Amino acid sequence: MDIIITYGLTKKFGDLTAVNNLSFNVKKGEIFGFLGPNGAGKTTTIKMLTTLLNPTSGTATIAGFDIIKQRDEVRKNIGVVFQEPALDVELTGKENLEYHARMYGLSRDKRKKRINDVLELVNLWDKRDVLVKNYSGGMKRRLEIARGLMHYPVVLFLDEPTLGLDAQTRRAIWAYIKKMNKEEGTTIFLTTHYMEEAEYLCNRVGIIDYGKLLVIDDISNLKNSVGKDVITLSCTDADRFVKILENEKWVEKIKRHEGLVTFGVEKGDEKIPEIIEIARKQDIKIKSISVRKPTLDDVFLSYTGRTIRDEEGQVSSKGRLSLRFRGGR
Amino acid sequence: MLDIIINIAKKEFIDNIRNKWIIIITILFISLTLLASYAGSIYSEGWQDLGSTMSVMGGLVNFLITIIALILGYSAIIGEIEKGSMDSLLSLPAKRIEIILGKFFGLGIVLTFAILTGFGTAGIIIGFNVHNVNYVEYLIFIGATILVGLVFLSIGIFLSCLFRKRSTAMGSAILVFFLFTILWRFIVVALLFFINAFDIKNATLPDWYLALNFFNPINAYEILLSLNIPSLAMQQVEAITFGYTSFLNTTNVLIALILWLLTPLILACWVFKNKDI
Repeated sequence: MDIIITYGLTKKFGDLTAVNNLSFNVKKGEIFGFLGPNGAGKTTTIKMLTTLLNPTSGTATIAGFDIIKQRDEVRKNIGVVFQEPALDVELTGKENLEYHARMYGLSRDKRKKRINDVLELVNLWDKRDVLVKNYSGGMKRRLEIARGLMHYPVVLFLDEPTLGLDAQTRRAIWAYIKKMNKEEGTTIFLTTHYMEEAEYLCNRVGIIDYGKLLVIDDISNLKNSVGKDVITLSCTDADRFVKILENEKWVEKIKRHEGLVTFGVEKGDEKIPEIIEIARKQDIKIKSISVRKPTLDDVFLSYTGRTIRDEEGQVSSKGRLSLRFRGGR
Repeated sequence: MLDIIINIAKKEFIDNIRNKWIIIITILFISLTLLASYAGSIYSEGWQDLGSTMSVMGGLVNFLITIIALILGYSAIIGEIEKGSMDSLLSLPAKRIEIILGKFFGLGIVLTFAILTGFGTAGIIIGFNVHNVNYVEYLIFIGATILVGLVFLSIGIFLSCLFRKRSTAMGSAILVFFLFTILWRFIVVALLFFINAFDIKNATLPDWYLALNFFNPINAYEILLSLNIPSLAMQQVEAITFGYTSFLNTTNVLIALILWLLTPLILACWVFKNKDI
């Protein structure tokens, strides 16, 4: 069953088309990831789906309710955790949840039980009476997630749930997201700048760029579309070598990026000697070559011709690319 | 609808208790009132009665209540938008009008509580130290002060909805403060002499000039006090010299203040409803 269905969702700000004719479905109970570079239209999409922005054209339904015509019903069925912290720091964790539950009209008994449940879920029961201003960044984020779950939402929207958190806290948040998806059966729609976050959490992902949805599929299918293995090499006369390799039938989705040549192949280990031999015959020197399993980074590169890192202007040299965006539209 | 307004108002009130705003304002009101009573008169020493205290407090309260109410109001909406927490609030099943009213009532209770507690406590202390205390007049003074405070809170919330930056809203609140507390008198007097309407021979002011008092909530507040608290009437130069014209009566002044309270609030709801966050 599809819990989110969008029909040609479009949002324009003057001449700028922030989201362009978006049509996709999200299944009930799945964790769906929305990936894209800065300004790709992820946050605008979330704002339309959560009824904060009216689409310029098109529409969507959440749990069967139209986001334009049935806004109140949509809001009752969703929970949202935005990028910016929205907790009241002068209230305790428990008081924040109380406030939220009252806004949804939960009865006293239900409130009490639910607050206990969600605080247990995110492991904050012991800190329930501590003022939020004394919470750490990770605790605040967990409380925000707990708050988003207070009213038993059918869909929980998480906009960059681990933005700005350290690696250890990020891992802990991932565990809570998995747990609530499993225990509560909540459908989760998340945007993230961390590719490894999407890989760890999501069943399916959609890649959005310049407001357009480029691809949407299971993570394994997306990775396979790049090739079984990914070879990255550095060589002299790279442009000529790319043209030569393009003629080889076993080479898939070859891209040049930052002086490196990246492409997909079957059984990468076995292909390396052949690649070196082709280069030698053409008098091209290979400076370095590596083979690895494809990641979502490679998927992103293959669909957009650039990495998310390019958008950020940040370089991470520790093996894999650190793929993270800030902000969003 | 009422549940959501009460919930938002309650949170605003708790916030202001926790961040010590209420305590600070209340202590300020108690201290100033006691100071005005004990050391406010140059003609006598020791505690003065409430009438004298109110006379001394009159001008001070105008400034103080105006600025406090504007400070409370100007960041109510734009502050949340700049923090990023407005998105979260708007994703809840709360209508925008409910958010405005919840904020207004919550901050209004903060202001009312501080005025009642501050002036009330000071009034009781003064009552123990002097004879012949007229508590009815003092209650009128407190009531009118609360009303003018709510007027400026309403203006502050409107400014908070009107602008896209907190700094602009703050600047406009400061401008409103100076306009009504200081500049207004110069503007209307300049207008009077520019039009040459001041009839020196008969020592009368034209009706339009007196009617301008309705357009400044502080003037309306002062007239309300002097019409209902005889000991304060002596403070009003115009009242002494010219006497109030018939349309400057308690009912009309009260209506003017209520309109001053409701109009910015309605405009705030309208602006916020159509605002792209």
